Amino acid sequence: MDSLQKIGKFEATSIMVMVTITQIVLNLPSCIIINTGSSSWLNVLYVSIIAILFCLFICKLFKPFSSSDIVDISEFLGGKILKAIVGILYILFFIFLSSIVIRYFASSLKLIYFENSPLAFLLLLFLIPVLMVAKIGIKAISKVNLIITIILSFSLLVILFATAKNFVFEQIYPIMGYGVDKTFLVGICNIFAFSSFAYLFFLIPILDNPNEFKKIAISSTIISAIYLFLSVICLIMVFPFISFTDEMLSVYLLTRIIEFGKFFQRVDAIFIFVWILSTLSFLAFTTHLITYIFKKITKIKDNKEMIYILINLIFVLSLLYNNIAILKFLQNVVFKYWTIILVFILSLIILILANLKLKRRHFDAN
Amino acid sequence: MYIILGYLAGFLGIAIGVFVQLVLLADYKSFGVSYLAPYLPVTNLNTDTSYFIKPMWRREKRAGFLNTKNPNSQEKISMAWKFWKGNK
Amino acid sequence: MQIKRLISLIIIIIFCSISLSGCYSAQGLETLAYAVAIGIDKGDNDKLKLSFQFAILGNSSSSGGGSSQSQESTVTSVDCASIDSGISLVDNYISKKVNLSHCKAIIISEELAYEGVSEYIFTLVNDLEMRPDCNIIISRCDASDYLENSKPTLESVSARYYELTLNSSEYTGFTEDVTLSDFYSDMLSTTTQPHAILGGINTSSENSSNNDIAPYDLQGSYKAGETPIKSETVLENMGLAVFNHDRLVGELNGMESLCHLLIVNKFKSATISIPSPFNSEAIINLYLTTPKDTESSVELINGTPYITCNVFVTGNITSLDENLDYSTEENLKLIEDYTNSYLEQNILSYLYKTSKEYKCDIANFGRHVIGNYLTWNDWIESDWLYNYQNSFFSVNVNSNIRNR
Repeated sequence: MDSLQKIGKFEATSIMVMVTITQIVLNLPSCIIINTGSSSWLNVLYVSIIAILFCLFICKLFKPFSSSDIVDISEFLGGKILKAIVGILYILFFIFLSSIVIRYFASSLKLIYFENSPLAFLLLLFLIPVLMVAKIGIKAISKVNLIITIILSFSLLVILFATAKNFVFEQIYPIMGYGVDKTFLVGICNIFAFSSFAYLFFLIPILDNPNEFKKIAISSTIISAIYLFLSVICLIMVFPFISFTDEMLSVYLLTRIIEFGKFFQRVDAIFIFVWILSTLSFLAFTTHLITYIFKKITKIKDNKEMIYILINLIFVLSLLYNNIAILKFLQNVVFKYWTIILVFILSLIILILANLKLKRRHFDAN
Repeated sequence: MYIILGYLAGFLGIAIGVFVQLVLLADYKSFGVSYLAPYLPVTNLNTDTSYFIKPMWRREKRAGFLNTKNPNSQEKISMAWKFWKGNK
Repeated sequence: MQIKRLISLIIIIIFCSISLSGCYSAQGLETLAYAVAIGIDKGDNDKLKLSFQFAILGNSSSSGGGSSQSQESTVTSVDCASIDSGISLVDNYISKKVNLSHCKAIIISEELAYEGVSEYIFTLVNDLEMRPDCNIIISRCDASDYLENSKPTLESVSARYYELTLNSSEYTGFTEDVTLSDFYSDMLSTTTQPHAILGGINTSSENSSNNDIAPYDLQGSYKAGETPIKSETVLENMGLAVFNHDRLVGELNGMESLCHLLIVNKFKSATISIPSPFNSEAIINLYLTTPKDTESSVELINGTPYITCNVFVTGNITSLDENLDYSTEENLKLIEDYTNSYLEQNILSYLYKTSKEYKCDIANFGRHVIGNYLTWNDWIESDWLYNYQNSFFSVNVNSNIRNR
């Protein structure tokens, strides 16, 4: 990989949006609906508002540290030890996220299309292009990402509007779902849907123009929130939500219902094609990010070989899960709390403390 | 190449082929201009974005990737003869 | 440099030799047998009797002219303990692999439906090849007889036959287009109960006209298998089957299905006959359409539901009996009143039948009630589906009659 390449404004927004939409396709709304029942739409609105406020707060906290990401800030705060800890935590988080995404998607593809192929084959098929593409560099990946994100978001909108005739409006009731406390108090855990914030923290040094960070962050959060809301509402209105506990890909089931007259039936293949593309670019970007963090922690100059190690690690980790039940448990419980603790709580604390330290330093200097 | 990929892995193989080909295309440059130049990167929506092209008489700025000296290619109202009333 | 190229060449060759052994999951089109319809019966020797109607490919070009002698489809039956074991037995028996992705109809026999169909529905819904929009038919005879008798006379491809016969509900109103996904979501829903299409075989030797029903009522009072029609196609889909969760509890005839369609807003158009106000022997035929959706509302008075429905219909008089002038105001008003009372009577009888006799809410009235509850637990405690049997109804029909 060359020296650090920069990406532009639209590309950065598209990366954030793609992270969220890839997770939406992989059963994220189903996790939300299992938690909060028929009031999930209220919950998503509430969580989105909190996420936007959080985003504004983060932008303000990042301002004094121009062109440094969270690893640099933690170095500033606590020296090399804190930098290493935070870096390792984030690396493990991204590896875990990628392995879950690959495994879930590959198992679903195996169920739908490739019943006889061994799972390792499918996983390899996902990882080898990532290997090839990682040599090329982030600029090309982000450009392709922009096209894929536009196609992906458009396709998601088509799905949501094409199933509109199957909507049963009364399935939104009862409004408060499992109760007010479960919707709002416990439901705040649903903010794990915005795990794209983890990517946001590392975005500043890669940007062409660090002043546009605020615009990028807010616009990507709003777009992700809109998509999340639309997909949750659509799923609640089409399926009785009791049936969500045993579904694999909820949005795929939506695509099976689409039909325009007698000609367009079972158009799910096109959508699977687009989702494969988006998963690939998601993986490419995530692996790039992991190597970048690793380079920062350990100060290696050239990490071409790091890619091989990383791919192997993700491959082995995604083979480790024995069955879907463990995977669902990991997704619903482990991933959820890890995101909340790492991305929202820990990073917030680090940022606040770093800002206080900077202010004190200025105060002392004055 | 796509036939081999399709044979190997069906649908998935073709999607992978498309992805890798797109990324490679995005990286190549010819005469200093990248292959996907008019389509990506989209920096300024006013210049020619090539997804939705404006009609000839509305294209006032030259494309960004050419790095020209003069960014304007036509003056603001290019079909001035259309709006004259009577004699000039 | 040389060694590096050599090593990379060896790796490529190894990789190619492993992976070029072929895509593992390719299935040729000729090795699949497409089942157009599935029939589920109570088995003689075992728990189930599964029947498949397979489409024979490649014959449609040779038949020409739609002759019904050539076999476009064949029916295979097997006794088995569950759907999947039946499929694997049939796979073993016939030369091709059974594939359900073109299945258009699932036919379940009445006696099996009385015992509960949930496990079959769950199996079929979970199957990835199955389309969620295939129709569910409950047949009054055996499902295998139903399949064997489905010989299309006006089409050449049996799959289209099922699609088109079940589309007839759009212009006759005597049955409804119920799909697998509708049935499944109604089964899981807490606001409504499932219903399915009623089908049967018309053996004309058993039909006798029923003397105590007035002539204008006779047209709709048949259930499947009873209409006095003589034709080569012997299959008949008329009426609805009412379920309580997954057990069949009753059947509705054609007129009651028409009322059901009016209430749930799925009514497209139909022709009904009402008694003529001018001549007590004669009947007037009306072509009905709905200009506006039916407005239903449910009020809970002391826990018992009071349901009101406002139905709007537009009628066109299609038959002229004698030389009566139908364009005068008072004649039209008279016909409108007769239409209103006729429809109100029928709709009320349908509603009370579902409520008191079958105790099942198939018109999804629960969706109006669920908005009154704030949390899910309150709604479950109120138990609407049990409460439905206590409900009272009032129906208002507003008809607007025009003549041709």
